[in-house]
Amino acid sequence: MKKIDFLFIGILISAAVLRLCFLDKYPPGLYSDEAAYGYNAFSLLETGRDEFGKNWPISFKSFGDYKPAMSAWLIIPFIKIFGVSDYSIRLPSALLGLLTVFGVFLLSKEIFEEKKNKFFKYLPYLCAILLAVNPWHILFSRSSMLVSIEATFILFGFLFFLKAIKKPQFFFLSALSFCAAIYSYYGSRVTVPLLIITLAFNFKNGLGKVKKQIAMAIILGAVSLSPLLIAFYKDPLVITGRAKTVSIFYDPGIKLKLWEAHTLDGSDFPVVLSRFFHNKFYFYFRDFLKRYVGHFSFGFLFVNGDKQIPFDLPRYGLLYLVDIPFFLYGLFLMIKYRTQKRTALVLYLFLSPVVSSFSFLTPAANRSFNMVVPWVIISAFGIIEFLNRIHVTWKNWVIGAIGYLYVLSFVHFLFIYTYLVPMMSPASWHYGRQELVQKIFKYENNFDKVFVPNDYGPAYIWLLLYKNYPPQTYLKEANINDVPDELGFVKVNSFAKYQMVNNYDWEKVEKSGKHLYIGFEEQIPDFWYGIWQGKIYKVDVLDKVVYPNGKIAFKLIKVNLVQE
Amino acid sequence: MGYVLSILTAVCLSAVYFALLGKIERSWRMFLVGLIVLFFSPWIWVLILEKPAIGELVNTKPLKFSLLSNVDYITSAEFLFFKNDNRLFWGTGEHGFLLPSLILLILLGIWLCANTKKHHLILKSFLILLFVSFVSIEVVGIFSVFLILPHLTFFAAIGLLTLYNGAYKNHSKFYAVVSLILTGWFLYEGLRFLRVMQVTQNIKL
Repeated sequence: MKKIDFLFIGILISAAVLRLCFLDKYPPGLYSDEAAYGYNAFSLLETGRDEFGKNWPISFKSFGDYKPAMSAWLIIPFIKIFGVSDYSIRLPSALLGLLTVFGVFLLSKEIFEEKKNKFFKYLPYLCAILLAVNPWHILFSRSSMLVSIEATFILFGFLFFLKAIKKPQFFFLSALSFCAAIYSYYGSRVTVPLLIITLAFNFKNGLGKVKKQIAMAIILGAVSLSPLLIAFYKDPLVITGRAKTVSIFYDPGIKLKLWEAHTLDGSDFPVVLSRFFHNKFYFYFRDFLKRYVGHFSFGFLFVNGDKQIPFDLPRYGLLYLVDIPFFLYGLFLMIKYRTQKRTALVLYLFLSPVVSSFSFLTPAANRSFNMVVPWVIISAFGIIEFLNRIHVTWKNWVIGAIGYLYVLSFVHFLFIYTYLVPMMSPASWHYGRQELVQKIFKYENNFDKVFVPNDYGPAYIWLLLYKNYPPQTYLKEANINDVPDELGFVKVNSFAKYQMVNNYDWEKVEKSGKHLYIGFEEQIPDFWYGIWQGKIYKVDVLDKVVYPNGKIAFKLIKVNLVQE
Repeated sequence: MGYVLSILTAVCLSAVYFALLGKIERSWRMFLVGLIVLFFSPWIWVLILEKPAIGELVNTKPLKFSLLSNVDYITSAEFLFFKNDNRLFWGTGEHGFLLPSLILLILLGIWLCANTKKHHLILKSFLILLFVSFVSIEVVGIFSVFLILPHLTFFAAIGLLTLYNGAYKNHSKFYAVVSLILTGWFLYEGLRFLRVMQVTQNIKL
């Protein structure tokens, strides 16, 4: 076997280790969305229906956010083989993350076909290495958060499109990949059409010769998307449901600013002019632009990352600082010595944050995740081109220095990810729910009701997941508040003996010796005497769930009657 | 005294700006484009109106002190183009130091300087001043950003001029359309900026 093939296998093994090992421990805890996917996959496996009893839905209503179904479909075979566990739920995302490393290798070979000098043959390997150790990619590959799956399909859709310029049969694979991306994540419903239009415009000269294959690929795509379109026709919330909770067009802030601007103009100022200067189009456009540019900000990419839970890495960004000069140099050269394929890659980068810019929680690491693929390729290209310009005397020293900086950055990231995240922000990933549910199982037979707080995540989903609760039974017992809250989320009030309490206030919760109470550390005091309906009770702590940093996550409590 | 200092600063920075433009091309067209871009730049009006005063700018510093945080603060698009710092009252209303429509033009201007060997010195001087502003923000607060504003405005002006040259000299329809859109956008924002400034100046604190 040639030396170069061992290199690629070594890269894949490293990527596999970084994505597959301790998948149930890092990140710590199974986030609510992951648990929802896991349970819906379980429900589909057992009954062919989701948690709401819908027969193989295209979107899961779930918490009222209408999650795309691809992630759950991919989880099904793994929970069939390995059973329901954090590991099996995250495994499809991790495997597709690994596949993305392979995809980047192929994509870079496709884009940079020329063999300019001896370093250039290592470019695909460098792209694969940079993605394998990329913090942003590791963060999302190791969680079942949709975007890792979406990014893989978009990457392969893009790759097959580029291949199809010379070999038109690849258009069918491209169409299927893009369709799979649309089933994987909400944002793809905007990103994929934009990307396809951009690619078509970019390669318009070459596409004229293959109209027949393109037409057939479009028909194939339309057929693949028909279930989604039919589902949308029956229930528009399948596609628009999530937009209502996150879109800037539903954010009252813009309307308030508009109202304020008109008010400041005063009644003496001509209305026409006031509307000319202050209008919805300009305000939304400005807001979109601000959010879009924010995705390229130094702070977001290299210093603070995404501050929204659970994607917040304490004291770390999403990318390595050492990437910056090579990325800028690579980008400069890509534009200066542009080819159609290089232009397509640059457009891929700049299109990636578009959909995220339409949401009001920006900049968002998950919604702009597609940026990571062109980023690593351009950075790798910058490194190779930089090395080509170094005098041969210094080459080894420079390679060593760059390698050292990357190793240092990677080790720092690993420290943050494996130590600081569990220590500083375990609650972000909803740590402790599995242990809590196991403890509830242990004690619940002695009680008629179990009160569980709904704060910091919908409690019902972990109860269902870790109990492998029969979906048909759940459907009969569930008491669901179908009226969405201000963020569009639907809440489950109770099922069986489990009572989900919103805005948990210990003083107002019904007290009885027959009830088991679950609370966060700050919600229920360890020492408490109180009166409920004329009877005096005191708190008796049965058990606790502890975070990795030793702080208390949950308490399991009963109340004892002291005096009637 | 503060007002005199503010006006002097405006004059000095404008001189730097026009000197940079003069390095590229000495023509009435360059001067006119440069003047219009400068006229519609909020930062020059901040100095002319002295709102906020230089003293206030110097005393307003980032909440976090580290080189990386300083870099984040100064290079933040929200700070430069959209919103500025909320802790101060800006005579220019809710604007950054530059209008958002200049973002693409600035990138084009930077590209032109990077792509032309004889303009590398301008780019190097910008990078040096950028670094100085990162470091000096802890001493002179937000005022350190003014070190780089003439360069950024310069990049925008040459970006705009390059588009015009592409449209008229090269008879390129693409350049014509792009320059029309960007000019229209810039002029709209410029007029809007003047109106917002007018409204803000009428407000008594």
